[in-house]
Amino acid sequence: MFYAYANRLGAYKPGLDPDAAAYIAAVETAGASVTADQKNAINTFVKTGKSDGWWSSLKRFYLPIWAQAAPNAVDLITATSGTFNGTVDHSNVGYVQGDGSTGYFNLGIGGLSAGLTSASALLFSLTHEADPDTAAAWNIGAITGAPGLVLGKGFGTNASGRVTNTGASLTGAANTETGILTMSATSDSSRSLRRRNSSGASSLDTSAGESAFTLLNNLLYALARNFGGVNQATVAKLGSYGIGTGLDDTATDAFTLALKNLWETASGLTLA
Amino acid sequence: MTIKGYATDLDTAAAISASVGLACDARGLPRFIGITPMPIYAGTHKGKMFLPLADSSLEQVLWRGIKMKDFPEFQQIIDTLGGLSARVTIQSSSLIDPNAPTEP
Repeated sequence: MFYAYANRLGAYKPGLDPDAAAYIAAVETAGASVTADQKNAINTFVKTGKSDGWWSSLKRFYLPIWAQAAPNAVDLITATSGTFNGTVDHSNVGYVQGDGSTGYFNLGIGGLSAGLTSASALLFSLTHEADPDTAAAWNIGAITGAPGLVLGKGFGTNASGRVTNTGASLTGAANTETGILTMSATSDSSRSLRRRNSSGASSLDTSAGESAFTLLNNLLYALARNFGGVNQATVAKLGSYGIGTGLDDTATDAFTLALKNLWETASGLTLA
Repeated sequence: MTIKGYATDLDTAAAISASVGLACDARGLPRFIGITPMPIYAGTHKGKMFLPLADSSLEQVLWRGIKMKDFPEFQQIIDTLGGLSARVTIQSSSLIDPNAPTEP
């Protein structure tokens, strides 16, 4: 009897976090086959985020690792979907890839509507393989000219990001475009561009920000930026992207570590 | 870089774009896939609207293991546009608006 009781206790597993469960249900309904390891990884990511405190900052989080368009479009935060347009390759486990011209993902929301402000904004993306072209290519964002909310590659192999009304950019050194990039504003006097790769987390660039402004609210795209439509689209292989309110450097690094662990476990790939 | 798709008029492009959304609606799905007509600014088809359809897109798995080419609505759309052979090949640069404002 004790053995049977102990066996039952050993078989008990705590339930999934409700947000993790909702996302898993959504991607399974959309046609993805989610393994037990992937479910555990998603659950761990969400629980870590709530324990660390960065979870509430995330407003949209996409994990396009499912090798099908419908589950790739599902947002982890809301369990709603964005829209893929043009030529996008969904055939690989772990990432999606646009054609660098017509392919992009419409998040269906602008930064302002999502709750971002000039004093509190976050963009992030996970690049498995970089766009080999030397021209600018954006992982996520929108721009109307000087006003911009973008993250990706500004030129060459240099990571770049903006939360600006004046065209101000933060730029990393050469060969910083892969791994997990984050562009964060935690006040109007603070901008931080960071990167996590296989070697760890580091700062790429910082600035003292600019005067407070009303953030643009144009629809945000991924695999490109929205500049009157799809613009400077990338052929980088992206395993995750999204937006949120600002995170300081400590919280950013905790978030990107959790994202790294989630993506590597769920995809079977290794962060560049 | 060259890209393949349909060069058509604005009304046809808008109708095709709407039909893709309706195909999602009919299945009770969110509009996870769309086709956004893009103006052609240069070349032989200047002035028309471009609907991208690369060969690779036909093989993409969209939902529950079903490829794009295997959706019944897909064939209806293709037939409306004249079949796969009616696609044209254009330079991707012809989709860039030469009068678009530049960023700082």
